[in-house]
Amino acid sequence: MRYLAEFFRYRDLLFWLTIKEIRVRYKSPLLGVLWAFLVPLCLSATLWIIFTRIIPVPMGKQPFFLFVILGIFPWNFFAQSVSTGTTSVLEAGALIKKTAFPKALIPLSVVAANFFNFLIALVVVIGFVAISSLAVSRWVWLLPVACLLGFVLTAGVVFFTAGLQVRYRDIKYLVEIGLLVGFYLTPIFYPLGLIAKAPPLLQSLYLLNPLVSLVELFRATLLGSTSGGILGSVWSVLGTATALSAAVFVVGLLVFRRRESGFADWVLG
Amino acid sequence: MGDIRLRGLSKVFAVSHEKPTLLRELMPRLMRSARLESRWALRDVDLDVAPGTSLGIVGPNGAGKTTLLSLIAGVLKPTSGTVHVDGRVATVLALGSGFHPELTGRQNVFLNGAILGMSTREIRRKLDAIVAFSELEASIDAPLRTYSSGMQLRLGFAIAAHSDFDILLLDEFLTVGDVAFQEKCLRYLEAARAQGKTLVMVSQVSALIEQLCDRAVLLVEGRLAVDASPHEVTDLYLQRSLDRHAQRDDASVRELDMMRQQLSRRVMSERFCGESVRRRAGTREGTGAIEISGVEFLDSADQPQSVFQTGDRCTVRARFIVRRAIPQARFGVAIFREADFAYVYGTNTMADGLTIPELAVGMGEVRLTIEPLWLLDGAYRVSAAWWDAASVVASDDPYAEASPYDYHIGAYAFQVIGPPGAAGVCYLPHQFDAADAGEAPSATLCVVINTGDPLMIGQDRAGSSRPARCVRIIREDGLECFSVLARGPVRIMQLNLLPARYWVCVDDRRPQELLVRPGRLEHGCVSLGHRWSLHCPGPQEALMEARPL
Repeated sequence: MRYLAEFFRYRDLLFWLTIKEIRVRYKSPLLGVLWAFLVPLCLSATLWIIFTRIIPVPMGKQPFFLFVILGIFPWNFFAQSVSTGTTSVLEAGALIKKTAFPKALIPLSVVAANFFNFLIALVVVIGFVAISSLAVSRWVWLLPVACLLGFVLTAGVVFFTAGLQVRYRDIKYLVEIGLLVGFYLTPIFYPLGLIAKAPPLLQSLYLLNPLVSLVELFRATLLGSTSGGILGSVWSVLGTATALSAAVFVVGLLVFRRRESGFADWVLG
Repeated sequence: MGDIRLRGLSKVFAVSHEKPTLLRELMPRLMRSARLESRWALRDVDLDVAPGTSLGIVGPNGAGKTTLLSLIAGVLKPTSGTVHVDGRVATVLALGSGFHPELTGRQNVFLNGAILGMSTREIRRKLDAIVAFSELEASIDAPLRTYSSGMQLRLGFAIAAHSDFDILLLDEFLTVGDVAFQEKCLRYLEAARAQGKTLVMVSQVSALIEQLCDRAVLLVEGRLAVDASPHEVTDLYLQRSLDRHAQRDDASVRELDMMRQQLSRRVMSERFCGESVRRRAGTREGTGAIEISGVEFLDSADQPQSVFQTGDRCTVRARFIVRRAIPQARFGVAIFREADFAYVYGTNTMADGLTIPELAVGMGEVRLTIEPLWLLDGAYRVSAAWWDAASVVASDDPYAEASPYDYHIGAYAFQVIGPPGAAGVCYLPHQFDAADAGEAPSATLCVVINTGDPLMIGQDRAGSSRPARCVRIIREDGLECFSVLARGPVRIMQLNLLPARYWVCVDDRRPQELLVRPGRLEHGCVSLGHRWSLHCPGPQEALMEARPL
């Protein structure tokens, strides 16, 4: 808890580190916002063309492409944060060797910068949902909670991988494999209901992937229903997502903290 | 606030030659276990820094200076021992760290300030002051990658200077930046000192430590070797690094290189003087306000003489007539070797610290008595001149020619008959010494001494297994200063050579570099013991000044 209080004390630094991350990605601020809009816009438009004009997938009353983009944007946020965040501490060598501040701010700023992009993507998604003239979901008030959980979960994973990467330089390859596998183990292009026929043990293992409940939560908030009754009601989806995200965050942070004091000995530069 | 207490502080770094990986950790046998060596960066350091102290840390590269600073800053955790730091710590960041090249200078101020623990509001309030201090108003909104390293340093220093710190850590901070900004930093640090802030700085620049610190420590191989006054510590450090493998240590190499350059410039100027005198030899210049009516060389019995023996007493007597009252004047004598107009020796009343009183109209006589005349076989030419002293004071260049009242260029001559077995320009009193001499600098490639110091030459590393036969000291520009045929090691009692870079050649062995430290005001290549006496018209009848070597 005291460690989290430290974050708060250094909130200005977190802010500027995040700004730095965003600025570095997009050279000019105006173009930056434009790109942040353009990328999800193009992706959504492509998926829209594919899943309505080329291969129309029948799926109840929700357009399938909305279903897909609600899975793919949270996933992209997660995957990009993890892959850039893993090496962030190692690469911030000069900073870590010369200055004393909570090192967790470095991966946290990477997550925050990606989160900024995700929020813009979310605006695009909301736009598409609005165009689709679906009734406003009664769970829409959970959207900020879903975003927060996504942030907490991603931060937890990044703490874990970034903390280990400093000492073990092959972690990033494991992370690449993990992300590749994770993509298929998350219901992005298929509805969760399809796992109903799997053996119960495999089913519960599958559900331990925190991204499953997170993606489901996002779909519930904007589309109003969960895909398949595996996780039960929206409340139980929320409960699962919260529990798993919190657990991942705590474990990740603890691992990071344990390793933090040794960072300056191991980082590059 | 502002005190630092370190107790039994040690830091060990694991030095791995390969990248550490999880695979290697899990399967050490499969991967041939990584060779992990540990290196002690610091060992058992106890250090108390009282609030308001300005502490300098010196030591060779790899001695643990930066590690010590990092431990105080809390960047590194000690392997053992405790660090107690009371108060806010600010670090003048090493070049580039804490800055991002793609952000503008202004954004970097916020980022860097936040790293130093300042709030955004605090930085916003101080932004103008920071920019003004760094003198980067024109380029503060340009990306940092367009900044020169000096500009980055200025920004970094300005930010640290404006953070509220009790303790300021500086690591090699004045390596770049122009002189004006360095001055500004120094003034700022002096002010911070006066305010009772604690400063801890690492620097290879001795002058900086001496100027800014009231205490210094010498770190050697991770241990606190000396804790004393800055002057003592820097002296000791310089001496130590010169003595021991001077050529390997970066800092002393830099210092030596600077000295070499300075000495080279001096030799160039000497040659230039000699050339200019050769061209104008026998001519006379000046306004004639003072007129030199005659120059004579007198022997020890005060009789005019034109041939001397090495080691004799030789008095240069110049009679002069003052035509109008002169408030400030100086008299100078220069000796050149006739064969090549090598500048052998030159001195003047001002360089010797002698102030000539106002000269009234009348006649006078000035005597320069050189004893012993340590010149070798050959013919020598002498210049004598009265100069306007005021015009010299204004110039920094010791070789700048002032406006002469009367300048007789290479107009007088004498001869020296030298002892057999010695050649060159000057005679260096010496003896052949078979006994081993403790000060033999045989282990180093470069010897640095002062004019007048003793020197031992020609001793083999493993004792004197092979006696030296010919010992020569040659100046950087090829001027042979002193050669002697020897039966063994030569002990030079007084190396009377003036500041320059010399090579000491023993037979056909590899020449050894010899640097004679700068700081002598005399010109030429040899320092000659001398004294002045002056009879001049005016209120003071006579004035005498002795100047022993």
